[in-house]
Amino acid sequence: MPRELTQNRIQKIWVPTRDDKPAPRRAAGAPHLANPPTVIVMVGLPARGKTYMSKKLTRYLNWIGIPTKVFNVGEYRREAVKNYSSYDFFKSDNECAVKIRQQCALAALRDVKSYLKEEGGQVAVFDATNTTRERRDMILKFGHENDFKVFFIESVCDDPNVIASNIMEVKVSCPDYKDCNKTDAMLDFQRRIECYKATYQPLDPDNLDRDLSLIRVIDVGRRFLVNRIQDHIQSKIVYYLMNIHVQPRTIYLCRHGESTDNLEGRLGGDAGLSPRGRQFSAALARFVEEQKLKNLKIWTSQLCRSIQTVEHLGIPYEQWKALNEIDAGICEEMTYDEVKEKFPEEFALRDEDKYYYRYPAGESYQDLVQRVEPVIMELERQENVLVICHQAVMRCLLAYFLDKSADEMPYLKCPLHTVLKLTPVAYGCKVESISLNVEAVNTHRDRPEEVKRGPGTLIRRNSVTPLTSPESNIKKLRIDDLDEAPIHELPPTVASMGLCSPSHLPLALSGQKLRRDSSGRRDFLQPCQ
Amino acid sequence: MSKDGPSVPQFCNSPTMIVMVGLPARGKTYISKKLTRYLNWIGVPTKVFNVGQYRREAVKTYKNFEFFKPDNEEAMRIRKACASAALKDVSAYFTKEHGQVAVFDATNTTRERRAIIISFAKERGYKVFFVESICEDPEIIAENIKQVKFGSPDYVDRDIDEAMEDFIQRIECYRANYMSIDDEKDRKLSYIKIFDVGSRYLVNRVQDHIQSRIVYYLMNIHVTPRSIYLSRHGESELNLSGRIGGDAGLSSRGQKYANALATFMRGQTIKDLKVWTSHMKRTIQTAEALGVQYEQWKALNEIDAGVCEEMTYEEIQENFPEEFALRDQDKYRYRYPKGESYEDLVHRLEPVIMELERQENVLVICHQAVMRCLLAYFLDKPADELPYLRCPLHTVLKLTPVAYGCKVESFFLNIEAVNTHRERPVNVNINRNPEEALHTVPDHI
Repeated sequence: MPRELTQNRIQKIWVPTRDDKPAPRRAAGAPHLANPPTVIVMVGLPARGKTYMSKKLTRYLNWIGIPTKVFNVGEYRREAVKNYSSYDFFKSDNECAVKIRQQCALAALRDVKSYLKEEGGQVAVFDATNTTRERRDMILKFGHENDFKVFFIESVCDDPNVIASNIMEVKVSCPDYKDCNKTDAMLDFQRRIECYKATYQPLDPDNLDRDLSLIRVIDVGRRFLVNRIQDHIQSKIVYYLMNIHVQPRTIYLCRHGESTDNLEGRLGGDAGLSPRGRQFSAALARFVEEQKLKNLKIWTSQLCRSIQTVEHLGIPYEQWKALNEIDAGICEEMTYDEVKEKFPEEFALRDEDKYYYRYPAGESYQDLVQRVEPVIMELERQENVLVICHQAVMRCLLAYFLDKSADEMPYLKCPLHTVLKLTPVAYGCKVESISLNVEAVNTHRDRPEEVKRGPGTLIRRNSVTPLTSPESNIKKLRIDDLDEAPIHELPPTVASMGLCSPSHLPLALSGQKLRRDSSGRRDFLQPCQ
Repeated sequence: MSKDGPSVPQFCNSPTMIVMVGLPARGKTYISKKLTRYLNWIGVPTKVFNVGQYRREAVKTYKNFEFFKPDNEEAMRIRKACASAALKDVSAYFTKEHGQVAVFDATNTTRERRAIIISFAKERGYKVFFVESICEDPEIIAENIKQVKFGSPDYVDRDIDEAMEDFIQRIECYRANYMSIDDEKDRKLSYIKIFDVGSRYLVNRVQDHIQSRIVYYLMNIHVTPRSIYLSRHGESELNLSGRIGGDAGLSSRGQKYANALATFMRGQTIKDLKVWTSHMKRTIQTAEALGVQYEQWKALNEIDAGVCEEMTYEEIQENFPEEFALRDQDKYRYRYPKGESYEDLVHRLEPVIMELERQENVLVICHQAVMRCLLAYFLDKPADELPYLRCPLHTVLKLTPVAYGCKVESFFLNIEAVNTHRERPVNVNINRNPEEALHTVPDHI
């Protein structure tokens, strides 16, 4: 007897009715990815881009709906040892420090286990140097005991210019060096690197590590060595890492100029520009010229209004069907009032869960993310690009760049006649909003106040649900936890000390002059971890 | 400026030469053909130039491995001439036939030969990407030789053991002078080295989008034996009335098919079968009868017929006669108003193909147009044939990779169903009369 099917009201997905519990919100459109959770283990000397890759990869995986989180051991160390004194902490013969660092790694692994087993995590990125075989063996053992897959990402680079640039970009302004000037910070950090170099045992895929799954990223992506990819998620991770780059560049996102449908408050459709929309098009052309960019690529959707917007620029452009506006199905070309009148239930359902809600015979934001993923991949490959698209599509792209969750995405503000200029900086993305001073209607609908949130609007596993990269786990002083470590006990001397400060070291570096970066740069940044 | 081009931006500007490198029986031709099939399917005009074929043209009968001895001067001259002839054809393919990618399939095992190719490409502004296959597992080599060499024209009248012995000697002829791509000296070149059939890869200097896609594809394919089963959903209510699209449920015959499919699949006794459906009710209902877990892919949904959704062909002819004719003129590129084209479908299905390559045994329950696209990929059918491939209801196609291609077996499960296949009518002119337009419409209620 075949099971009866019902179509769930929000996602419009057919599921068997017979189940006792409400139909789980499963993968819409994408297959079940990695079943056992995966621990990604970063490997490399300091300033090789491990944290950069960790964060970027995490942002990407969360955006495509794979719950991922970074566990940065350096942060655990900063919690345990409140004031960083100098590179001496990292000397391999500094026994007391070595023990603390070991405990921090173990604390981080405990949190990894909890994230993957109890909190619905799918991928944990273990961000630390992991430069010794001994440390990696411990992690492999941990993975094996818990049935986690382990995938190594090693970053190898010996170009002094790249290293120095990395240090300037993210290290000198990090909490460890908040009381130092740049030169001292740079010097100390380079000595820190030397501490690690002495004991660095790179991965050895030819021999000792030939059975491990790994990718070695060499010279910032010039060359890759890939060994034993086990599954779909590792394959996607490798593809992503091979497409990203660190060349400075700018991405411009904007919508088409105001259309005649916009003026009437109609959704979707394929209308042309209104007179003000045409003004915007001319203003956009002027704006682009003023930016004086080399080799600007321009992408539009295949809908008339975005193509009309670009025609003014007189530069070659590419049309992507994938950039078309969300398909409103039976609601296409209606005004919101008409939708409310003709399909009141649908109207309410959409407000209840705007990310998952699929228009009948149309699409959801969740479908959009899937559709737009190849655009993101190509954006990563490119340099300067102007993307002229639509409100829902722009919200999806923006959520990727600014690490916004599925919950926030459908309510991001993307007004007409405004260009968003995105510039990668440090670990995140600077965003500037530039209005081109041409009036337009407002098409933004805020999240209604009294909306009753439906059941199960929470975390969904393995579905295309962008989550923001979670904040760090650390809530309390880690030093208290050190006694809980099952494997190693701290010697009583250390446990009774608040901080470890060997007597022969000063508590702070000389050069007390407090120098901070001009705050302007920080306005739109995600916090630098 | 992009005109009414395809829905995928054109990423190749300079033509690209993919240059295979490796000893005989390392899978170079296998990779060349598979990659070419993939690139053509996603819309990048690609062609293989196999130097061995040129050699077989030049030297009508192959005697034995002595031809390949490095000190056989006359043979060397012939082989060099063949390589040059192939390169000339590559150039013609790019300049006169609008080719985008040429796969130069030969051993290319010496630095000298590779230098000639690099300089050839540089002079003409072609990009070069090397694909080197390295493998020393004797079992794999022997298996390769059995699969494809014994059937080659070189060995057509030979005893199997004799052929194996000769081929092994042939490989030795190359080995002495084999210089692998050097990670130091060749660090400026763009290449991928594939070790042990995909256990490991070394990728150097990927230059552009197409090379990045090629690398991703090569890293996802495998050679583990497996079968892919393609089937449509069981007959639906809308099928019965000759309507296209929609989201109807199964008819009673459709339900019978679902049960028959379950019986059939059980009879195939496959380990670890994955089952994929679309998001449409009729495929899911079909999968439900199997009683196993299945995955729903929105990408497998039937082609969106836009304004023509749920119409019969007669209604389309009545309401949109011009559109109906335009579709017959170019069924692959024709996009329904507010709907999709077959070309859009291919683009939509590409992640499905990529995942099918990664997987092993899979049953895909989908729809007529979608199945045609997938079938065209596996059977290397060009765009003009794709929309007319026969994918009848209640029939399972079993695809098994073999040698350089795909064996296909068709199983009709003996449950009657309507025919939904419409052949291209003779008259595709927009001024044709309705009888001419509707001439090939299959019967329905």
